Amino acid sequence: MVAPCLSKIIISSESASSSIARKVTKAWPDVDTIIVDDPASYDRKFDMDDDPVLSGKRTLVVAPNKGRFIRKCPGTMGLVCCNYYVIDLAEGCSIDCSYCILQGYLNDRRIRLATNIDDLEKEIDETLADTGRPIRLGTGELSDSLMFDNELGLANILIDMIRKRPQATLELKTKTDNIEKILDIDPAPNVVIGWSLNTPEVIARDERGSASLDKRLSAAKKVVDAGWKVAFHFDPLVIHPGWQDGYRKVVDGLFAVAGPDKIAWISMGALRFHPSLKPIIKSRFERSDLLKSQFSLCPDNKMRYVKPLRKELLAHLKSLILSRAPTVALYFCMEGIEIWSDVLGGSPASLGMLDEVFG
Amino acid sequence: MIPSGSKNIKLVELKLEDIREDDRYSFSYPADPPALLKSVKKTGVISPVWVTPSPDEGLFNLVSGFRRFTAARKLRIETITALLFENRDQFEMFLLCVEENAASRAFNQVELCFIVSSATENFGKSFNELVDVLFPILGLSKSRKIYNRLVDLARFGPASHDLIARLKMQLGSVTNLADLGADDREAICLWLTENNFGLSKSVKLIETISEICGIEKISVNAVIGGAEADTPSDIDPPQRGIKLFDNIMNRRNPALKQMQDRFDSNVRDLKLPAGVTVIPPKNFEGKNLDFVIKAGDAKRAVDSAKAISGADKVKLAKLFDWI
Repeated sequence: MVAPCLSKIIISSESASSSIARKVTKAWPDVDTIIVDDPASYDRKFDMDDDPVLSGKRTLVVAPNKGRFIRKCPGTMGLVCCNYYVIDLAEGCSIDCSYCILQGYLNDRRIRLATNIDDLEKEIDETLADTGRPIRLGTGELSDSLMFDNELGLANILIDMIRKRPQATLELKTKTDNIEKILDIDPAPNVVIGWSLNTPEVIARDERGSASLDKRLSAAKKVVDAGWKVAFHFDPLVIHPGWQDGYRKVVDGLFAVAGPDKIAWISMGALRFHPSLKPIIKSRFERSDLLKSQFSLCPDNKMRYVKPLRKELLAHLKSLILSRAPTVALYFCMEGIEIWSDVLGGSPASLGMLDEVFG
Repeated sequence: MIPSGSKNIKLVELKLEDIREDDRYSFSYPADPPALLKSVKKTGVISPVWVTPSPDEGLFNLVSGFRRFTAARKLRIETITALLFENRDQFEMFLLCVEENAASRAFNQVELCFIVSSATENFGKSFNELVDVLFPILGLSKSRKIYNRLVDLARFGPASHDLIARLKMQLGSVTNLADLGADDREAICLWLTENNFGLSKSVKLIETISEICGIEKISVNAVIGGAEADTPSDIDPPQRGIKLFDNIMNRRNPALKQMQDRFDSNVRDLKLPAGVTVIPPKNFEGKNLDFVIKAGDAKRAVDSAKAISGADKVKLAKLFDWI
C-alpha cells in the first residue's frame, strides 16, 4: 500500500462540513490541520524550503473547485490526440516523479482536493450532451487517481456516477496499489482501472513514493480477478541501461496478471519534457538516468529522444505487446502521425481504433 | 542613500596611506576595471569613498568605493575625499553600502554571491535574517534555492567568476557549473573565455559538456581535448569556435549526427547545381524537405529547378530515408 506522507492539511472554512473534509480529518487525525477562510492566501510556493516541490506534496488543501471539473485533454498541435476528457478532482500528486511537469508549476505546489464532488455529476451530463457520443474520462492527468483512495475512497463515488452513464467510460490511472476500496464494490463495465508501468529501475529512481512494479501488477491481478477491466500505460518509456530486457520483463509480468480479453487498452509514450524541467530533474533526482540519452527539441517545444531512438523504443514495445496480444487496442500518447505510421502502420482511423479508444 | 542631516557623517579629506581596505565590505567584481582607471586619470575621484573609524587610532576602514580607491592608489594620488561614518553598527553599515551601490547599478551574479557570502560568513547572518533585510535590497525573491545557489557560486574559482561576470550570466545558467567539480569548472570556464564564446553558446556548451562528462564518465578536459583534436587549428577563430561547438554537440547526440551525415551524403550524390541547397527539418522532426534555390536571374532559377526535377528518382527518394 502506498501511504501519502502529509505534514499539513488546510481546509477551507466553506468546505469544513463537507463529507470529503470529514473523511480527510478522519483519515489523518495526527496531521497538523487548520481551517481557514482563504487557503489561497497561505504559502503556496514554499520557496523558503530546501525542496519546495516536496513541501508542496506534503500539504493538502481541501476546498471547493470554483472552476470546471471536466476539460478536454489539451493534446498538442500536430500530434495525434486520443480525445480524452480530464476530470480535475485533485490537482497535485503525492507521488514524486522526476519527469512530472507539475514540478515546474510554480503557482501552487500543494495538492488540492475538491470538495464539491456533487457538481461533477452535473458536468458529466453536460459533457455527454454536448459531445453527443461516447466519451472517455480520467482523473489521472494532474494527480494519481488512487493516491488517497485507501484513506478516502473517492474512486467509488466516481465509479457510481459513471456506472449509471453507459455512454461514458472512466479510467482511474495510478502508480499505486491502493485498490482496497474498489474491491469492496461490484465491477462497472464502463470503468477501467489503469496502471502506469515501468521497469523496476525507473520506478526506483524516478517515481518516488509509488508502488513497486510487483505491487502494481499484483493489484492489477486482484482487480482483474474481481471482474474489472484494466488498462496499462507505458508512459514514459525511458531509455536506460538494459531497457530492452527490462521492458520485456514488464510486458511478461503484465500478461501474467491480465489476459488480452481483460485489457481495455494499452498506451505507450516515449519520454518527453519541457526543457525547463531539465535543471529540476538534475537537482532533485541525482540518481536518475533520465537525461542520459540523446534528445532533440521538437516543434511542440518538448524534448524527445532523437527520432531513431524513439522509433526503436516504441517499435520494441509494440512488438513485445502485439506478439502476446495481436488484437489489443494499442495507441501512442503525444506522438505525431509519422511515428504512428512508421511504428504502428497507420493512423488511428486507418487502424480502426477511433471507436474503441479514440471516441 | 545617506540620511540627510545626519550628525554622525562627516565629509573629510584623507591620506590614502591612512585608509585600510575592509574586505568584509568589498563585493565589486571585477575589482579593477580598466575603464575606471582611465576615468579617474582624466577627472580624478569625483564621488567620495566611504570610511569608518578604525580601532587603530588615526586610521580608517574603507567600506565603499574600493574600485575608486584602487584606481587612485595606482595613479599615486595622495589624498581622497571620504564620507566618514561614525558610531554605526557594522551590519547596518554593510546594508547601507549595498543599498548605495544597488541604487546606482545592477549587480552581476558574482557580486550578488559575494554580498550574500559576506553577510553570512563575516556578519554571521542566517538565511532567514538575510531574506528579510538583504534580499529586498538586492531585488531577489525570498527563496532558499536562490540563497543556496549564491552560496555555491561564492566558492567558484577565478576563471568561473570571470566568465560569469563577463557574460552577465543569470543564476539559472550557473547551476550546471555548480554540478561540476572545481577543476572541471575552472577548466571549462577558462576554455570558453579563451575561445571567446558568447553567452548563449557558453551556456549551451556548459550544459552539454557536463552531460557528456556524466554519460561517458570522463573529465571536462577529455571532452574539450577531443573537440580540439577534431578541429583544425589553422582556421579563423570565429570559424574554429563554430566547429568546436558543433563537435561538442555532435558528441552529445551521435544518432543525430549520423542522420545528418547520411543526409549530407545523399544530397551530394544527387549532384545538384551550385546554388541549390536541401534543408531537412530541424533535428529531423517532420516530413518536409526545403529545396532552396539561390539564383541571380530567372534563367539560373529555371535551370536549377529543372536539375531538381530531373534528378535521379531513386537518389532523390533516398533523401527521405530518415522518415
